Amino acid sequence: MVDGFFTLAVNGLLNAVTPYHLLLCAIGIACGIIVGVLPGISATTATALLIPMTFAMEPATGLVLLGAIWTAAIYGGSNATCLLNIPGTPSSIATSFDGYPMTRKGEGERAMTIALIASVIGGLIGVFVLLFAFAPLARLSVMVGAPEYFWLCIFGLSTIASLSTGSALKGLLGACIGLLIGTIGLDPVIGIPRFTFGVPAMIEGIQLVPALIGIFAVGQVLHLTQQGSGFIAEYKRTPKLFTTVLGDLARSSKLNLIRSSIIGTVIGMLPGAGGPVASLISYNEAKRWDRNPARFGTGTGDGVVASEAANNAQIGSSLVPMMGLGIPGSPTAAIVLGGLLIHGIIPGSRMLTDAADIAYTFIMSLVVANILLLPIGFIMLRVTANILRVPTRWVIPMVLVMATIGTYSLHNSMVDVYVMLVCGIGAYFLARVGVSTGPLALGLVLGPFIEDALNISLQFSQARGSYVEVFFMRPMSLVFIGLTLIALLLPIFQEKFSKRRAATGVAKDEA
Amino acid sequence: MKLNYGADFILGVCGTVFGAAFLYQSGTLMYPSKVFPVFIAVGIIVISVLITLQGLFSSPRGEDIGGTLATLAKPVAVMLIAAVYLLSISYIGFYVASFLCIMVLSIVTTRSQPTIGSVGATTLAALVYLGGVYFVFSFALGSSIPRGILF
Repeated sequence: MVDGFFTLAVNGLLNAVTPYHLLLCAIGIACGIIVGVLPGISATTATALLIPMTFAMEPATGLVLLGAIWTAAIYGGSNATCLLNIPGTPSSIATSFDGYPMTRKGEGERAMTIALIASVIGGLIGVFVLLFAFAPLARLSVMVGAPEYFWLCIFGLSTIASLSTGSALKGLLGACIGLLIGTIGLDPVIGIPRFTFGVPAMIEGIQLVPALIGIFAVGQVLHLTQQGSGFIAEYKRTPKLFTTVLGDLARSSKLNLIRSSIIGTVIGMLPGAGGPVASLISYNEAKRWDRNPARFGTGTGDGVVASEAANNAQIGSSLVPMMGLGIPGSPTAAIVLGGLLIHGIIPGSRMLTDAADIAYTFIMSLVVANILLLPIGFIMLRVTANILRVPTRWVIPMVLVMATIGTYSLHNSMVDVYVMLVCGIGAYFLARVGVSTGPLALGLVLGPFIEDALNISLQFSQARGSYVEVFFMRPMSLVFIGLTLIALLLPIFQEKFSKRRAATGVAKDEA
Repeated sequence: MKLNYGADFILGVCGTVFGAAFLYQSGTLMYPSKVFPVFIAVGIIVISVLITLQGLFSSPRGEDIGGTLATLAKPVAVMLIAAVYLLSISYIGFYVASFLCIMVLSIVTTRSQPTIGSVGATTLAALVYLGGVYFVFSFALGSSIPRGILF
């Protein structure tokens, strides 16, 4: 059986590195990076737009192209995040907390290179998990039901303290506002409109991506206007950039890279959780376990590492439930699933026997895509960094125009565009009174997940006749409850420990 | 007018009113769809009351949260221009509205007086940029572009 696995894997690799597939992969990566940079055009949109093109291709060839675009688009989101503080994809929200401050310090190219290397390493770890363990892990991933999701999201909310700059109370308020915005529209249980105030366009609710583009892109336009500086930041071309960053990461960020990749891989396996949740939790854990957590949010490379390693690691692992059971773990995985079905390939446990050559070619092409991402991404980031040479008076209107067309192209709806503007203006005023955008975005991302999980769990509890059994007695729920408690209590103990250590140090000095 | 702890008080009061309005609205919903909004609305009220109290009883430490109202002038101007831009798309189309938006915003957000040279450079940059947007969205991705009545 092991021999069979290696034969299939080697054959898959050989198929993935044919000149035609390598060329397609390189084109996919370049397109994916460009798409990732544009706000509103997410990896999901890009794969959806390109899927008809793959119908004319061989199944494996089409999947090679889709995989390359997906991998590169998630990474590409970090470029706009680092340079302009505008997450190109929702998965890059956490990258903005340190990526943009690094750019402001004149380290824009360094931030993007860190994002590139972390993305590649995270991506490779996620793909290797998919390669070696997709069948058993797929069965494990569906053991996570609504109550477990509820607790996972509560664990996600424990990151608020990390994401708040300044007052934690204001961070909590921001998260609550984000959660509340997520409840606007049709109620997920009985389908009645909530908080629409009689406006028919609001029945569909506030879509996540237009709201996030508003908060970050329009908010950034207003902040840049307020700053009034001629350029966003100083542009310094750094010599020996790649080797320097690689050396720094190898010396001081190994643990962070591995931990963040594992977090991304585990969260990616849970159907529906996705890159934004993975990167936010990973960022929080990196901050929590750091010796000097205060440096996070001020422009530290470790913040970028945590976010980017996690969001690219979840790509491979989100395919685990899709390839193992036919359940897509993310919207992009659902599109890939559709592509497989159109070619007559049924994902699930029989895929390993019925279409093993295609499955392993696809998996190995993701390995190849991650490796190719390194040189192509590096060349492109050197070009992209020139945005910093553009005067702010041009950047401001151009970002507004890009945000408008990016938002409109999501659903061809001007309502989304108006939502974007209102969210941006709201976020700007909230930021002026100290409510940071991080917790607001976290609330927006987690809100629909929490509500769905809570409602299903409540109905489940009513049917079982016990709230305690459903919410508190399931093994995976207990794991997430334990993690949440650790997340909340650990900073208190860490603070006490550091105070005691400082006091001991002072006593020793006096002696 | 300095916006520091005064801003906290205003934020707290606005948050409390906002939370109370949503709590009232949530109360009119059926079970279980009201559970989650009620929890959040109560959360907003509690946090806002705490922020209000913090704003009332904390002694001002000169913390600069928002700067002065004077710094709001340009951002508010940009907000208004952005609103006009978005509304005008439905009449004059995306590309014409975007060109005008780039021209007006580049003049509003510049620190120095606009010259013929700078306006010319902006015109060229706007045309090149919108050409790139057309290539990516209309030509390469085949996305739908908002059209107006006139264009």
